[in-house]
Amino acid sequence: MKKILKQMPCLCLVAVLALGIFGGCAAQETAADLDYSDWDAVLAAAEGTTVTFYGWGGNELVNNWIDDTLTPYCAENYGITVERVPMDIDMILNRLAGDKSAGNEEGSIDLIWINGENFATAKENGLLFGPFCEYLPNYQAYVDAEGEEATMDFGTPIEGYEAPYAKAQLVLIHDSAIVPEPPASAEELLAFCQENPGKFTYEAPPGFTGSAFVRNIIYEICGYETVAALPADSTKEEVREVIAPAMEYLRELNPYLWEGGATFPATEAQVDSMFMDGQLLFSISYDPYHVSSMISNGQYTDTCKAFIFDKGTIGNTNYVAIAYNSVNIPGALCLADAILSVPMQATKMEPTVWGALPVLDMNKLSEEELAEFAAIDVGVGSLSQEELLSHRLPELPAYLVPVIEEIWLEEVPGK
Amino acid sequence: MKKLLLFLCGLCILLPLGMLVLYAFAGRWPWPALFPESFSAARLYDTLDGSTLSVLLRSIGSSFLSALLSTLVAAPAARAIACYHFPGKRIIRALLLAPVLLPSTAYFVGLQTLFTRLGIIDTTLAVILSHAIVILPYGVWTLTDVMNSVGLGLEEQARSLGASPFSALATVTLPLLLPALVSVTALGFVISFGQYFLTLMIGGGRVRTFAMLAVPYIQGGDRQLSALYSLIFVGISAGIYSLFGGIMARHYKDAAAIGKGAM
Repeated sequence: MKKILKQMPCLCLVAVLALGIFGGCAAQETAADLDYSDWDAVLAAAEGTTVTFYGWGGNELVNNWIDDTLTPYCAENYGITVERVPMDIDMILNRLAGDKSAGNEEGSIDLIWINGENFATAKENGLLFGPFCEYLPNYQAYVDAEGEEATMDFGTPIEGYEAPYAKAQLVLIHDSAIVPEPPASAEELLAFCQENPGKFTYEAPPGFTGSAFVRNIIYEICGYETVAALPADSTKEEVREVIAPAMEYLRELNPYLWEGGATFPATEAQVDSMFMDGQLLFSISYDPYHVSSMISNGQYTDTCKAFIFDKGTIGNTNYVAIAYNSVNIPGALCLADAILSVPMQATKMEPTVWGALPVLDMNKLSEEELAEFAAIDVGVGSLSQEELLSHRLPELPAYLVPVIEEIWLEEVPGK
Repeated sequence: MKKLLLFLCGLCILLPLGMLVLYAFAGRWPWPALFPESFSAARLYDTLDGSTLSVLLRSIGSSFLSALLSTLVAAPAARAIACYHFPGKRIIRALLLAPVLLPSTAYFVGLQTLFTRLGIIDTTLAVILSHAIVILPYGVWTLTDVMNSVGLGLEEQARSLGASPFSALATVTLPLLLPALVSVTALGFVISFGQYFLTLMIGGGRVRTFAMLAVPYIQGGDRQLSALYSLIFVGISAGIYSLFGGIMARHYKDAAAIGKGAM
């Protein structure tokens, strides 16, 4: 009895806290009274609101597409105003984590451009609203919900917490006037570099494209299945053992790279600039229609072409998610739905506009809708959608990506 | 000899700027050509559209307000530190310098939490206040030395000749301090205009300043866009700085002329 009395203040405190938490939950539910599965109600609630769309702002084409195509489309069809906010994803996640710890339930972030490790982190820490995909009419109509890319993002189960936005695929780029026959495999690339020393390099991981190139080499040398089969709790040493042949290959390649492989360019754009300047013979892009865009704006010569390895190249899908404390969830749902519409997926495929592969299931489209995609001129130099998709390899589980980047840093540069 | 040194210094500043100009307007520029194959101003027109210009103007306005606010706080603080003795003066002086010495992210996070609690996060007001806080140490430190050399002597003389405290301050001390106040404000403007991470954290991306538009492109590494944005950046900062300098120079020339006329 005495013991219980002693603990009384503690128990009271727990009770008060519990009440506070439940009370808080109840209050939230009344605020978010809307039934999101009733799409007409969502539309009505979103009408006239402003939605913020946060994401990386370093690509002029993507920014212009959002400002000049997506924003007017949303205004016309959903009556919402889109406000694009350029912010790096780690800043966005910091911001959300800060909101969470300060108890800010009315955040300024609505929709977020996200994928991979960042999605895994955000979902794990409860920074996202969801599941929401099944609310979106365009998701139901056009997306293959059972497909690999709608269920898994870098090995993280999506479970309706993010809706597809665009597809990307790694391509290599050559100037056919200078190199008529580009290498079709890692072995041929090595042989080519041995004949033309100092004319190739790749962005240093963890740079996005360079990191993907290293994973692609791992697929080439070790095979995708071998690496993807690594269990989720594998240690760094276990990963190191499995990818050792690929690291061996990269070390072998090193002496024939730019600067003898002692150093690597810090950004993808630097590699591209050196390629444009003629200092390198190949460039690498995670944007499959990059070549067409660059030819059309005059930065590449007309003879530049994309190429891929015979065994295929790595591809990923990027997504949009909704912040857990978004004050305009109906508006964010509308924007996510607009992104999945046929006209928006089709316009952003045009190389001069953005050049991103559509995320819709082509089998679910009507004749006219298919015609909209067929009418797109993918421009000079790029590979066709069929060619790319038939050589598309999935991304590795998110937890392996930073481990591989670390191993690369330890074993490759200057070795 | 002195001229040669001056020439070399000028070269060090102008050469990189010259490169920026070349990059900003170059079309294709294949290695190893010394100069670009073609020039084009097309991307400058694309860059300077209406929305960029309005962001630019608002950015100039808010940076100016931050600088002004910071100078208004820094001047009395510097005067107190320079001219008066009070307990804990050293500690206060050290604290005023803390924002420069501490790792900035640490206190940015603190500011973010504070402004969130105050309910003004993501507003222009919060951004202006946070910039003013960042500028403050520079203002206090620059002005402390000036206050030291100006001292209280002249003001006390005016007071002993019957001037009210206000008119002594307004007619004796302020004119002496004005050049320092103006250049501190100009410095504050330049510091505020270049703030990126702080603006992102406090403004949540909703408050758009010019740095918010420019930095993603510069980080992305697009050479031409980076060069264009950098040039605009340098242009605004240098422009405001020399504008302030010019106004002061004129003011003193006029004052000197009046002084001579009176003699």
